[in-house]
Amino acid sequence: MRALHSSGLLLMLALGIPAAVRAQAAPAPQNATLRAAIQAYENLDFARAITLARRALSERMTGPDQARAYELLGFSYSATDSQVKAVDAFKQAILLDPDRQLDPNKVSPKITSLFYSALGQVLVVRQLQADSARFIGGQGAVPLRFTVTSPARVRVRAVSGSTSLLVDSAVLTGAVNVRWLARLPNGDPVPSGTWLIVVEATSGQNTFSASRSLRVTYSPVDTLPHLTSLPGYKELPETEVPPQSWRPLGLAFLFTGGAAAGALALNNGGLGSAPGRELIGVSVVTLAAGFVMTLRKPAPRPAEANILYNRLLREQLSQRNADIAKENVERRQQVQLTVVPLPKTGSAR
Amino acid sequence: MRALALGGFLLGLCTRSAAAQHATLGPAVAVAEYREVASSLRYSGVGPGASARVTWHRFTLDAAIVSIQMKPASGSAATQSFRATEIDGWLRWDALNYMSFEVGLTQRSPDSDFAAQSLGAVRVGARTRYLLGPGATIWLRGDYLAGAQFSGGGTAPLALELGLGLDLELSRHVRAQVDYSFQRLDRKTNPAGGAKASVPIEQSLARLGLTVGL
Repeated sequence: MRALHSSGLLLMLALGIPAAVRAQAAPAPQNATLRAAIQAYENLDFARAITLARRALSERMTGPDQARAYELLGFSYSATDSQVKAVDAFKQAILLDPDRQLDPNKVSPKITSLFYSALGQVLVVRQLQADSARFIGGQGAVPLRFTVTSPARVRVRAVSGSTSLLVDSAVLTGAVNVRWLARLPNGDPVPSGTWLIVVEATSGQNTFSASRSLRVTYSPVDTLPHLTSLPGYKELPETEVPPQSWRPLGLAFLFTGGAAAGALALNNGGLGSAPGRELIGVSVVTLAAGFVMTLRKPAPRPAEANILYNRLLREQLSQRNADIAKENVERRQQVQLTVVPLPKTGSAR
Repeated sequence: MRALALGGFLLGLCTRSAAAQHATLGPAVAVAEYREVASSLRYSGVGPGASARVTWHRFTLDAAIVSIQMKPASGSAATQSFRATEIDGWLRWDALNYMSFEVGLTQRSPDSDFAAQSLGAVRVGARTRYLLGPGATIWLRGDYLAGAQFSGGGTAPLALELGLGLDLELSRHVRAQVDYSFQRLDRKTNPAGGAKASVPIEQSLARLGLTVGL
């Protein structure tokens, strides 16, 4: 008895079975016989565990309890080296719960390999996942992922009410990535509401389907605001005040000197010397004005380079705003789709 | 009906161009010295006047009138005073910011045909201007006085006019104008079909005016 106990303990350590059973089946089963079977398994009484599990399967049980009973059988048969029976039990468990996974950190490689062997012998669609997505209708897609355990013709459909849209159809196996464009055949975005993604796998007489519900909602597409300035650019002052200089007085001298020289040159010597009273009077006023203007702050003058720069900037800005207005017209005719996967309720068949 | 339509068209044209149009008008006072024939025949005087300006886009129309009471200058052999009325007109086109071309008329009429020659001529010339500072523009012009006509007959193949002026903006609507012009006309006559006689004319005139924007 003692030797049996120690060998069972070694087996338990080697397989890590009780911990795995607890880890795989967190909530307590409803069926009392199944609970007893689990207890027997934890006590390393595998023969009794198999008997009780089979008895439990003949009783009325919920789906999860049934899957758990088959899994317990698979574990127990693995412990008793009944590999074929173990694989058969795991196959039943997988068919009842395709998404069932074993944690390789808690379950022995022996059991894990038998489980994966069972997986390769059944046709199921596992771990159907859809990511949340938000995109403008017709310009994006909803990523879908699933795993097909055996080569099969896989048809992916999106169903809502009487509408059924084919997303993809191909012969596939292993991990599959599919993109649902969420468009009707005429190119319009799909109507808002609840959509069911149905993945059907067919291989000979075997068929399997899995589904996932998605919520599709509409929202208006954000329009772009009009620009009041180009980022990183700003207008430059269009006038500049030149530095104070003697230029006004110089100009006054130049002009009055020119006038005086001209008058002297034009003067007819036969009429005497050139009359100067009028010229002197106007010249004095002109020179005085030049002097005053020299002392005054110079008048702002147009900065041609800045004016040209600002003109180009305004042209660019109006071009950008015209583009934005054009794009906003298109955006107002578009719709933004938000796709959110709903909590899983349905089970595979 | 056609007259009404034409009137409406002209009214619309005026209204349309009013935005680009500036007009000024104001009084002036002028001093002048006038010499004729020889250095001994000299007159000088002072008189009132007026000036007006209309600007439309690149075109400027200037008009000025002065009436000067000319009196024999000191040391002059002249004995008779007279009143000379001079009307000047310029139509300028601004080719550049600092350069414009002009055509115009000048008409000077003494109240006594025996005291001095009357003159009528066409001006053709150019004017340059520069901004001295805020509201102050200085200008210099040169004109050829073409087709000069005199009351005493004769021609003036060399007839030139030189001008210097200053425009000052005193306020938004009031401007002061100071200008100087010097005319030389080498008048030649051919009295009684004899040898040509040279009877030159010179005038220098300074004008100070105030104009108000309309």
